[in-house]
Amino acid sequence: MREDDMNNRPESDEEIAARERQRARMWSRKTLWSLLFWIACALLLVLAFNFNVPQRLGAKLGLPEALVIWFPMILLVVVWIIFMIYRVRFAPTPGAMRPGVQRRLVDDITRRQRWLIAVFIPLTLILALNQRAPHGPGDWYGPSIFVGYMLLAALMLVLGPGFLNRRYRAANADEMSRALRGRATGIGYVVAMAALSALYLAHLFAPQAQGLAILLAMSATFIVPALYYIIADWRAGHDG
Amino acid sequence: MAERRLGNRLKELRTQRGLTQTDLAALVGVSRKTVNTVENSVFVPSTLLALALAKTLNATVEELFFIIDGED
Repeated sequence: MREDDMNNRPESDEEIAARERQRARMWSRKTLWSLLFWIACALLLVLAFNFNVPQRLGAKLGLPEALVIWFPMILLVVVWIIFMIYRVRFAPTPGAMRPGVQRRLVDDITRRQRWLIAVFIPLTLILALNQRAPHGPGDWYGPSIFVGYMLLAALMLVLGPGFLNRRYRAANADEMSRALRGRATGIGYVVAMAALSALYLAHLFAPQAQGLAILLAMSATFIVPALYYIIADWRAGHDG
Repeated sequence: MAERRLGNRLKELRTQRGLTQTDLAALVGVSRKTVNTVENSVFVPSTLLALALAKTLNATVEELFFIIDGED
């Protein structure tokens, strides 16, 4: 029980906002650590497959190869589910959705949103470059993930990061952020038109480069307006 | 046609009331960067925001904002 509860004094909006900020910082640290964990796991899996570890292990333990291959993946999914359950334990602070609290958190949330968009830029490049390898007819999941990701990235730039989250609503409705997103969307439209024109030219004069051109065009349509948004948002807080 | 700009006395009225940009932003429910850009005449606020700013600072919209007529 909190001291304020014991004193029967209702917590002020400022106190709740301070606790929400602290909670957000804690989750930023935890997210960074979990990201490092996933990268380490992915690297270990790649190494294991490169050195045929699952096959060797399967032969040694007398287990089917498929089971040995799928076991680490299932283990990772289980770890992820445990992490999500652990996360649910940290429910939002009571009163966090009060308008007075939400108003005080707008600056913190917009700063976090800027970082979120910044993370999406290298991620877009990594995913786009990963799509360069030729895909067979049955290899649908990689391109599907890329297409889904690009649509999500575009929605994030147009509607604001975390557009489905009620806690981000006040920040996404902020007048300056909305104006900047509007300008970024306009820039995105120009880039999209330039990219389509370049694709048309590639189709006519360099059809062999069409695959790469499509990937670059899609990436540029997100990256250029995203960069504009990040720089303009940062400048809006610092000028004057 | 002469170019018109929106001038304001936001900084003046805000400091008179002992408020920081962050305080004013929290009271109005916008980000500090919105207040900052309005103050520096970089961003023209909507009617809704102009009214909210004026109400928070206990002033009229005309006291807070004015038109600067540019030269032809």
